[in-house]
Amino acid sequence: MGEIIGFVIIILSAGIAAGTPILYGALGEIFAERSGILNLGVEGMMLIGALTGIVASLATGSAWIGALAGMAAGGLLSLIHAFISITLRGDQVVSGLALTIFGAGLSAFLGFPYVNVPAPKFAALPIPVLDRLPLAGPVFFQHDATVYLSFLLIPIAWFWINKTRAGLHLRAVGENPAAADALGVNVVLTRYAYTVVGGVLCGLGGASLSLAYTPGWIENMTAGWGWIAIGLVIFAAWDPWRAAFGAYLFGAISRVVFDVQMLPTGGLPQLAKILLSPQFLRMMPYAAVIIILIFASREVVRKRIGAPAALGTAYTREEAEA
Amino acid sequence: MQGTTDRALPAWRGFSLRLEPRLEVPRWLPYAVPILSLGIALVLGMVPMLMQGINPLAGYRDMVMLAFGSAYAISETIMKAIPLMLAGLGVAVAFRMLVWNIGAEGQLYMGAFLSCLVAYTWPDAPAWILLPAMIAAGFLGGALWGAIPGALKAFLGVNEIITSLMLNYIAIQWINYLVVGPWQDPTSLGFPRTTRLSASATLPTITTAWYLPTLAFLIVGGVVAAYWIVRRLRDRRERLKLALGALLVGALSLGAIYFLDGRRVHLGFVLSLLAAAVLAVLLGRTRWGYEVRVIGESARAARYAGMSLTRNIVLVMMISGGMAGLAGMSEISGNLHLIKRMFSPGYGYTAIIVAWLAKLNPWGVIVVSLLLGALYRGSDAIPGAPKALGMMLQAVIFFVLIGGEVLIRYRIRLERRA
Repeated sequence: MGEIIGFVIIILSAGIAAGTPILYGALGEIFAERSGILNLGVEGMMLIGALTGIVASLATGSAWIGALAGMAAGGLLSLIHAFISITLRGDQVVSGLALTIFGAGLSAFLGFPYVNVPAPKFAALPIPVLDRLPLAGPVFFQHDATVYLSFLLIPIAWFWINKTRAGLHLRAVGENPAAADALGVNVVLTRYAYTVVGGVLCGLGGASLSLAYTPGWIENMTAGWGWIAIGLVIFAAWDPWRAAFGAYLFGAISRVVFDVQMLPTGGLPQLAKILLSPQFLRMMPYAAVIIILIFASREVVRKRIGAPAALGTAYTREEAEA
Repeated sequence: MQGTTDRALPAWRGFSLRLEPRLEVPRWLPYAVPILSLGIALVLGMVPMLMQGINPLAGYRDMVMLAFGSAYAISETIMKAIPLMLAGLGVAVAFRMLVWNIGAEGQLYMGAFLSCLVAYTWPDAPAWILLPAMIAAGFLGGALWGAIPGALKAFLGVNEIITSLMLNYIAIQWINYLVVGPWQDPTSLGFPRTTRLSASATLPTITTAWYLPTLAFLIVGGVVAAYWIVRRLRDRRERLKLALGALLVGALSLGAIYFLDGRRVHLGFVLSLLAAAVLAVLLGRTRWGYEVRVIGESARAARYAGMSLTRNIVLVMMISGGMAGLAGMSEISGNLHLIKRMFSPGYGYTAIIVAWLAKLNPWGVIVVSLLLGALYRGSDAIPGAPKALGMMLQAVIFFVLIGGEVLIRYRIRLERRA
């Protein structure tokens, strides 16, 4: 019994640690999409955030400055997308794809000298007293600072979106920009602001990956996690709490996959051996995204909780002919 | 709408930029903008090169020399362009209907897998049976892999962007499993790979022995074209266009054989050109192509017109995936002759850029593939992280062009704020 509880604690705790970078990406995307801007560049912004984090952390010796630099880089990158999709009214899907390809290429090119170079990272920071709690202690309170920050961010994001005036404007811009405009909300500015907030959070997600979860820089180290974050936003129905649940679930899946690899496979039938080979186990998180999206899409249809109505469309003020 | 200022750009010091829709687009503009964009992108691309301590001008010169500097260089650039052409054609078909298939990379791997399954099962079959079977299997592998996100979108409304992308990672792991598992060549230890394909399973390279069959093909094609020109086409300009096109194809194909004799360029090149021709006809001249266009412009209008969205989404994803599968088949059977881990340096992702830069036009895909193929080949000339340099430059070109397209649709005005 004790062993099982121990295993569950490890999985939950590791799920939270692994889910944190995904969670930052998903929260960022929720903000952007709530304002009506679909940004498929999450993966690219996370990669740039991860590399910038390492470079700045190496240069200054502080992981905190690294994380800040990663946030700034993610925000800057998202400005490109904001300019193309808001000001120039370009296709948001295509611009976002370009952003991901750009981020992947640029980070791989500039990151070449930094591959596997050790840099100052976020150390484990158990919270006194709370970390001694049974169960909750090891699961929630024995992580690094980036994880705690994400704990704070979930309720803040939820409160901001649902309970504040700014959040009301945000939702209005995403649902019905013309009405928001008529009420005096600056649609262009709102969309720019939340696209950049999204970029900043994606940059932080990347930095939390390279400075905390898997310290160090490797080409393409996000391995699709940015895309998983975008998928999670749909699963989460644009809600921060559900996004957190989804992110931790994926974190836990990727951890279980890692642990199962260590199991002895002698005596198992051939098919089981194949399914437990590292390659098949590595497919699991991606397959899980597809399966979960299938269920989420059904739920979205059934409960009619849809995407923000103006998601992915540009806004033009139809000025009446005087 | 004339005179209606369309939307405001950020304002500086009392001036504001306004974009207004062009009522008439100057004829030269759609050509000038891509060229200008390319120039700007190359200048912007210098910044990361400088950051890496590379002299950008010398770098570009070396890249051009490596990609176009000799007959051999050009033939190797074509080698890089072939998978881009096939996969790019597939992406273009899907994007035309606004079905966002970004799973070409995975579909490419699955096409390589299924065609090799055929090749390893019947290695001794004669080439004239084995190669067509492999081509069909390659198409089928990609088509089935593309059908998954297609069916999920069509029947359950699942976002195809995420699912098609997730399937890339799954396909790559499947190939990794084969390469270190059941298909591993026992003699390859450090760098696992599969055993070499048999001689009859490899696509033949282009040589001057092809002159006679090509000539026969051209004569038949010429007769068909002549019949079409005399009997079917009424418009003089249309007639002239087809006649000139037919002459050009004839001259180019004979010239290409002479030029590519004894190089590595293989039948996959011909396959790409034929595929572009077939898709151009399908998309431009058939009812199905018309449906794709209507659905792409307005799904609602298409539904009112009685067109089936579900069927077309699945069909388009299968054709799109099938083309990417062909790219994988041709890359393995024509170029590598065995499967390695990660044998595609992101051709499936570059195919997205290819399709968009080509304005989703099949012939455009061929031209753009040659350019981006040159980027792949040319970036080998830069020490450091060659593959990434090519990727980065592609993306910069992509971005600048998306922005540049605005210039075609809108006029930019600087106005003093009232």
